Amino acid sequence: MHYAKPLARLVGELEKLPGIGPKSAQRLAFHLLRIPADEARQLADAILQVKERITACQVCHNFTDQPVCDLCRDSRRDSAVLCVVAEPRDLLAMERTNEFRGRYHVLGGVISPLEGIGPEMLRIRELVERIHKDEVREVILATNPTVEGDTTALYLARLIKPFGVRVSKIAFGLPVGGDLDYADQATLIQALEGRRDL
Amino acid sequence: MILRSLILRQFRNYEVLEQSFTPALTVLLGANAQGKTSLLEGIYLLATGKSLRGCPDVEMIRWDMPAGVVGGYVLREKAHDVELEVVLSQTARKSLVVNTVRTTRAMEFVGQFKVVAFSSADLETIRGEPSRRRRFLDLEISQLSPSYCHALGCYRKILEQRNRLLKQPYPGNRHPLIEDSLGAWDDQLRTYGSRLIERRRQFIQQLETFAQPIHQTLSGGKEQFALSYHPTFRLPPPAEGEADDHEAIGEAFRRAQESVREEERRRQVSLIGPHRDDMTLLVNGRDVRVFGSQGQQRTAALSLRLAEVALMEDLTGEAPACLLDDVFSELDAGRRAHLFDVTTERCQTFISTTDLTLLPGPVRRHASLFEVQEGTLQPLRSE
Repeated sequence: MHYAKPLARLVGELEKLPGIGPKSAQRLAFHLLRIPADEARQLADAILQVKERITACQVCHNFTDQPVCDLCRDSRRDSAVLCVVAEPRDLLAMERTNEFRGRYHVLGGVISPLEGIGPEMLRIRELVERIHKDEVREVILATNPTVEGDTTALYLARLIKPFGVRVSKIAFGLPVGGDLDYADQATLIQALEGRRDL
Repeated sequence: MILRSLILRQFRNYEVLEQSFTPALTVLLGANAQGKTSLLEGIYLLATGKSLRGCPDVEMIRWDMPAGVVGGYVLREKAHDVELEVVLSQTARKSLVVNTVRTTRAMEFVGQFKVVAFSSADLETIRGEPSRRRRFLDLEISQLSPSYCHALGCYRKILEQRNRLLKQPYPGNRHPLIEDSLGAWDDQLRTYGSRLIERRRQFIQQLETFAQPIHQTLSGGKEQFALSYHPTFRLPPPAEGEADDHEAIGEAFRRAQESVREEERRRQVSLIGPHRDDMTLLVNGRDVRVFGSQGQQRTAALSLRLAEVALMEDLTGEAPACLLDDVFSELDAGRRAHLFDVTTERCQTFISTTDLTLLPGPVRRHASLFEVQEGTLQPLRSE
C-alpha cells in the first residue's frame, strides 16, 4: 500500500488499536482526513487528556481524574460493604444496575500463573487494608465466571474469611427474561447447580 | 443415528467430496493410502471434534491448504435432525458449527452425532500407556455427557495453571496476609476432578455390565471379563441409589492432596487427580494388559467397543453409527461374524477394507460399495 508518509503513520497507529485491522484503520484514517481540523484537534486532545489526567483512585483503584474517585467520596454509600471486581469495566457494569449502594475494589486482573500473574501483582494487600480500616462487614466477589476468575474468588474467600467478614460470590445462571431453550449448556449446568429452594 | 450426507473439502487427501449414504451398510474398498480411513476420520470428527488417529487438527488439512472443512447432515430419532460442520484452519482455532451457528464450547458440539469407532488402534487402548485408556474414557463419556465435556475442559485448564504455579514460585514481595495461592487451585482441581472421577466410575460400571455377556459370547463362554477403575487415591464406596457421591469423593481427594503436598512441591507437578487415573481390564481375574495373550487382548478390545455401542443405545435410546476401520484381517471368522451381526443389525455402519472377501457373503450383497481411489469415491455394483 502506498500512502503519503503522514497518512501511513496515522494508519499504522490506528492499526495498533484492539479490534482494528488494516482495512478499518484505512477507513478511519480517510475519515479523519475529511473532518474539519477542529474536530480532529478535539479527538487528539481528548486522547491526550485521558493519558494526562486519568489515574487510579487511591482507594478503590477505579479510573478517576481526582486522587479519590466520586464513588469513594460519596458519603451516602455504605463503606462496610465492598464489591470486588477484576477490572474497571466490571465496576461500570455493576454500577449500571443502580442497585448496589456499597463501595468497590478493583483488583486489576485475576490470578493466572500461565500469564505470570500471582496474587502479589493484584491489589489484594490494599483490599485487606481497607477491610480492616473501614470495618467492612461483607465482601461481595464479582469476578468473571472463568477458571481464573473463580480461582481468584476462592483465593480471596480463603484469605478474607478468617477476619470474620461475610464473604459472598455473585450468582451465575440464566439471563433474566431469556428462554431456557436458548441458554447454552454450560450456563444451564451452572444454573442447575446453583438452584435454590422455593 | 444416520449420517445422511458428508462433505469433505481440503480434508486429508480429499479435494472436494459430497456423498450421501444409506442408513444401512457402506463399504469402502481400496488399496492403502487412498483415503478410506480419512473418510472415516471425517465422520469421527463430526461426532467428537477430534481426530480418529489422535493427531493435531492442522494435520487433517489437505497439504499446503490454509483450511479444511468437514460437514454432515445427521438424521436423529430422539431429536431434531442436525447439520454439523468442523472448520479446520492453519492459523486459527478450529470452529465447530451446529445448524449454521458457530459454538465456542466443545460441549455444545460433541455428542450431537454419536459414533463408535473400531480400529486396529483399539489394541493400544488395551495394552498401551494409561493415557490411552484415559483418552478412551474422555472421548466416550464426552459424547454421552455435555457436563463431563465441560468439566474436562475446565479441569485441563486448572491443571495447566496449577502445574505452572508449582514450577514457578512467585518471587519475593510477600505480605504476611498473602499466602501461596496454591490452595485456591487445589480447591478448583478437586471440584472439577471429583466430577470427572464420579462420572468415570459410573461409566466404567455401566460399560462392564454390557461388556460381560458380550465377552462371554466372543470367547465361547471361556472367559470372564471385568473392568476396574484406578484413581490416584482410594475412593469411598459408591453411594446407594440416587445419592450423590460428590462430597465423599471430594473429601477423599482433599486428604490425598494433603498427603502429597510436599512431594508435589519437590517434583513441581500435580500428582493427584483424574489426569493420572487408569482403568484395568481383567480376563478371568487377571490384568489382560500384562497377562493376556494377543488374542485375548484383541477380544477384550472388541468387547469394550461392542459394549460401548450397547451402552450408548441404552442411555440415549438410539443406536450410534459405527466405523470399522480395517479391523477384519485381525479377527477370526467367528468374531468377524459377530461384529458384523451386532453393528450392521442396529447401526448405520461404515467399513473400510482392502479385501472384499473378508466380508461375509450376505453383507457383501446388501452393502453399498464404493471404491476409494486417491481421494475420490466410485460406486461399485453390489455382487
